[in-house]
Amino acid sequence: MTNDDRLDALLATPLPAVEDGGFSGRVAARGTIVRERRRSFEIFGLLAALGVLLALLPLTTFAAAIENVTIDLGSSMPVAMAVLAIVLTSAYARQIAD
Amino acid sequence: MNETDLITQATAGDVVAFGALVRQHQSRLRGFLRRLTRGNHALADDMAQETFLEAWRKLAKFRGEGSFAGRLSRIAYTRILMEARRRKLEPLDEQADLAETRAANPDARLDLEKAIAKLSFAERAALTLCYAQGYSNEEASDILAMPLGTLKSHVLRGREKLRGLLEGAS
Repeated sequence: MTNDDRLDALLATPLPAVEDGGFSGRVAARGTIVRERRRSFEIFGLLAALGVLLALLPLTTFAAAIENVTIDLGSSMPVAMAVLAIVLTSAYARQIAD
Repeated sequence: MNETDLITQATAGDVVAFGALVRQHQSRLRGFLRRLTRGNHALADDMAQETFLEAWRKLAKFRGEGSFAGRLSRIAYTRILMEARRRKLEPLDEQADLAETRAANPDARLDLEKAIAKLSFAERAALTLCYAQGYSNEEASDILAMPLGTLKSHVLRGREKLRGLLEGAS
């Protein structure tokens, strides 16, 4: 056996096995903590963003716009016709099914 | 349960599956890191823990390209390089204490570990991956994020240095 072969054989020896000794448990526990902390941060960030959005949005303008649309829809003939058509179709379909 | 199932479940946040993955890979990864840190078990275990946590965080991006063990080694190598720069853990150049070590302990394997400790990070990592952990040159170059030619140079240079160190010590 040459020196090269001996060196190759030595290098190719697998590294000694390392006993777990509770390492996996510690990593899993730490992983859970880190994950929960990150989730808390995400929820907090989301709530903060929502808060900022609500604070900055011109809510009175939105409310007025929604009110206008609702009144318009309520007094619209085409919308009333469409609703009537849906109701009649649904009643007819149920009757056929029965 | 096979590794693919464990990865799927761990990706979904299953801590038990993640724990099982850690159990499967801890010995190989910690062994690799212990060699890279020249036997500093505490530092190697810290790095291994951070490696597993980073791997878990990025598990959703793992599409099965390469092995999971290879991916862990890649994360670990990047981390240990960063840590080495931060702590200025430069490889030792002097070869004086190898002969003393040999006199104190004639075991060839311990000689090898002492000699390997004198190589650069890249040489240590390249030799360990290609020899002790059985990766192909292509896989090792991917893990170490270096071109194939560079990896082969590190293997050759590392081997030459080792031979010189071991012969000098005997």
